[in-house]
Amino acid sequence: MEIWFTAFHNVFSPMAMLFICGGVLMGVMLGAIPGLNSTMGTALLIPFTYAMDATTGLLLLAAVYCGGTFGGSISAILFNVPGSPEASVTGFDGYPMAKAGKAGKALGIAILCSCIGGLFSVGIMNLISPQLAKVALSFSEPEYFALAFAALTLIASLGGTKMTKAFLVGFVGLLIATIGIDPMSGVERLTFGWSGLIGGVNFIVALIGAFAIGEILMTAEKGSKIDGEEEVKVSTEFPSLVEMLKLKWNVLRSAVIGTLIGILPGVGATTASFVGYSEAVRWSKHPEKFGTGIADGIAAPETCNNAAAGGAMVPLLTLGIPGSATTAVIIGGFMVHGLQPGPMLFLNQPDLMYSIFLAMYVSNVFMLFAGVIVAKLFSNFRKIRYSILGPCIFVFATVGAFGISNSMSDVWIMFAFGLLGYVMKKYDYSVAPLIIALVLGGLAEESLRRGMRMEDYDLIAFLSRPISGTILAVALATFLYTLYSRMRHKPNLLAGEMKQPSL
Amino acid sequence: MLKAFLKADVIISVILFAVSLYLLSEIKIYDSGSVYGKLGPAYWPKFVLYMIMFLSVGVAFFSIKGVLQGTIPPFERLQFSSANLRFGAAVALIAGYLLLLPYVGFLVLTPLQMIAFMFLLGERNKVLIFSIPFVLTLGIVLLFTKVMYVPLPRGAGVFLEISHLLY
Amino acid sequence: MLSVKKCFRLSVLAVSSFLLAFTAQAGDGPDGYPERPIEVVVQYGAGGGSDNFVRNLMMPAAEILGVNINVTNMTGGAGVKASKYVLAQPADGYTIYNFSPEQLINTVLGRENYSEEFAPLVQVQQDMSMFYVNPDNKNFQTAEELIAYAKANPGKVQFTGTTPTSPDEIIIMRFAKAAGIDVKYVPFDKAPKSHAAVLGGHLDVLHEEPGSVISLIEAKKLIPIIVFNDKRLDKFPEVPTSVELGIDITSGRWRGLAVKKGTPQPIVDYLADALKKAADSESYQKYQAAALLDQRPGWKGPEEFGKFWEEEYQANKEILTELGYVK
Repeated sequence: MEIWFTAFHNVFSPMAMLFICGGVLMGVMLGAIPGLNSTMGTALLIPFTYAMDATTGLLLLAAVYCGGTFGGSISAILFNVPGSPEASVTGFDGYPMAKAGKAGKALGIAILCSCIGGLFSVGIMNLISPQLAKVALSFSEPEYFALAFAALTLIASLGGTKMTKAFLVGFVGLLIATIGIDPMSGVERLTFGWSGLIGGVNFIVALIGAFAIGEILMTAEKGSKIDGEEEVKVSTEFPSLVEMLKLKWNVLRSAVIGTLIGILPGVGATTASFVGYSEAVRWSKHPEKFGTGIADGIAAPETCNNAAAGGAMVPLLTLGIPGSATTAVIIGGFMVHGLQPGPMLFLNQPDLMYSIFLAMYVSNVFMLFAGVIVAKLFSNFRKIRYSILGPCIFVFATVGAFGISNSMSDVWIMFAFGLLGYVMKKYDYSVAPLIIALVLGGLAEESLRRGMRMEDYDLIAFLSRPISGTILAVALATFLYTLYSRMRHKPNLLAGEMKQPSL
Repeated sequence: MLKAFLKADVIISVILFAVSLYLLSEIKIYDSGSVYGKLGPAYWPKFVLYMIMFLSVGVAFFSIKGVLQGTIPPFERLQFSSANLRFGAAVALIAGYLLLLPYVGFLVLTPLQMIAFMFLLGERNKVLIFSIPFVLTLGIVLLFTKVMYVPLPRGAGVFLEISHLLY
Repeated sequence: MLSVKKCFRLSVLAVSSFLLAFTAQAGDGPDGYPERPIEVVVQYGAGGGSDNFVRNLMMPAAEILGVNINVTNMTGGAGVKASKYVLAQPADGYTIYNFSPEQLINTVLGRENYSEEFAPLVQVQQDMSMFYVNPDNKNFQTAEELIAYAKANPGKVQFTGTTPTSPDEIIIMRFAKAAGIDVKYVPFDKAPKSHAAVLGGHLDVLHEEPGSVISLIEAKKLIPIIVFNDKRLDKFPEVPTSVELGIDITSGRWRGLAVKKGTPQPIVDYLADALKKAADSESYQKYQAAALLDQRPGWKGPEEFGKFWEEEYQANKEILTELGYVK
């Protein structure tokens, strides 16, 4: 109790509150602008925290981190250019919803679910951090493989009616994921001697290309008669209680999945949001509606990524192992004050830990306001007509792709994916399976090969662990069931090209 | 019959099949040396390529079958229109921009590209065309280079000098 | 909870860096160098050991040089992307590169050519390699037990570190060769994952520099079993050295800086001098102590650093050829 009192005192001082609120606002802004993200933001703030005392500095970093995880969804929903990797999935349903004139609603769902996911994971972290850290450590390669495999099989449902096409696109995504230096052997694969490919294809670059550039090319072809939504007033509209109650199981499941995946070292909020989306599809009564702009498709990834942001703090605070890129930078924030996050710090300075917990509660609540403010700022751009907005989006897409690793080759890769996205859109191939496979392909391959190496290539030993075995069995069962019901009830849909435009 | 084979899906499948076949031969050379263990660097891509080949046959089969059964509309002749021209111009504009960026730099090239792009998309308001690109470029340069230290391309020669004036 | 004094320090820092960002004035180096911000390229992500090193060194260095120093992270492709970027910039001393052992290894593997491309600036840190085991490991708790167990069970002991063909793998394999044992190396792409694998008992031995796992050592979640050095460390007096065990390996990860080849010598010397002052500054020393990087002297001037590259290159080439990575 005394600890809480100290923490309360630390966090609710005017100065600390100013830093927390400013930090969240800054995080949301950085997240929303493509090319800038909270990882960079925290790295740049560390020299400034050096001049503060340790507690205030860390509260500021935690606030930027919380805000940054949400910020990307604003640009993903409004322009289909995710401002940060964590928000990639949000655009799958957020952008179609915005296009249907419900941008305000989409933003409202995203902000509220982010807040709920964030609060849930901080609560969990606050209560049972040490126990959770143990669970995270019990996960090994077979479990990682099972997670990736389960999410990948959902590609079957994502393609809507065109299952073979969705799988074809998915496997092309898996192939693209193998480009670059193989993490297990160090061999360069499929780079064709071009150094731009040696680091692999970054999925956020591919995503910006396939969605934003693809759309710009599509509209350029359509011609000049494109107006903005000058009449439509985009203001954030929070979902009603009834609407939220409809989402309750989805949000709860996503919050649990997000927290759990966030805790796993080296698997961050981005993977969490993809897995959360896939699971929302798996347990939904109408999986075919995902990708058309439904509330479930926004609630799941948004709850997940913010829950994962809190989850990633668990291994950081209890073991000193960062769960994501930004938490790795936050370690630097501890170190400038001569502190080493980990089990000892947790024992020796509990008041610092509880201050961070409390600051994260506050940050997640304040995010509701910061989100609305920044969303308001950005939605003004949607009123601009496309002949002005298109070139602006292009420039932001370019600096966004460039900013990933400050290299021109990424911008070229973005352009190539723009052409690919254009072709796929034109001939009715869904882009989502490509992106999902690109994100999870590396994890699936690596964990399979590493796990098999650890088990001396004994497939039975690899498959027969309790957690991974269960996940794999459920994934396989739902996959086979989907296949069976498609074959049985709608044989044509398996091939399905019912209303495809002709060449 | 021929019309069934000219569907976009069929053409895409054939291309994917051929590329996969080529990549298979490319990938085989990775698996030399025992240092990599039993599942070497070629193991996974090989599996993925086989699946792509299998699925592309599937997509082509369903597409042809659909046309022959009349459930999918057949191929229609491509008609050249101004739409293709605009598309080509947009692609050229983007490619040209990316090609020149390392030599001319972000600061100088971006406003020019935006002005051209706005014209292409049919914008005719001169005030907007000649104000927004400069304001946006300047805003991005200041935010990205001064506040966040992103090294946007500066260009070479005289353009490098111009860029150095600002960042 | 900021005191007035801290508030003041903070605002001075904020204002001065703001002013630095927008003003250009001639520096007091050769030919007015530096007159505009210097960029330091790091080939690893923000928050890693190298990134921390560069950022902590550049904080005082910016004050000494009187210009802003921007740290740019360009990750991917074992540093090849970052190297290419540095090579595309003019050789004028405004682009500094965090030169790492990977550049030498990439040269062995034919991806880069360090001797043609880069000129040595300074080495600042000499880190230490250590092995750790999980305290619940039933088979061995010391280096001797490890060697004995590995001899009885060839190929069964699983080591882990970061990425294949890395300095981690090289030191593990050199150790195995010197001890006459046959081991398995299971690499991870990110260091935290390898820590978690040993903490969770999935793999046996972790190779890591002590700075990033110090809290886990203090909490007895990881037991250090050997340090690759010729004398025991003050911080861990109970951990035997490699030399004591008859294994003559004392190398460890080093961190230093380089510039593009062709940079004028006066600028190289001026920078080396400024960086020496930065490394001696209070704030850098504080970071170095917190990250356990002060256990071995690490400073090398440009000439010495260049000679060291040669030796390291030859040693890496030998072991990578032996392992079968180079044909």
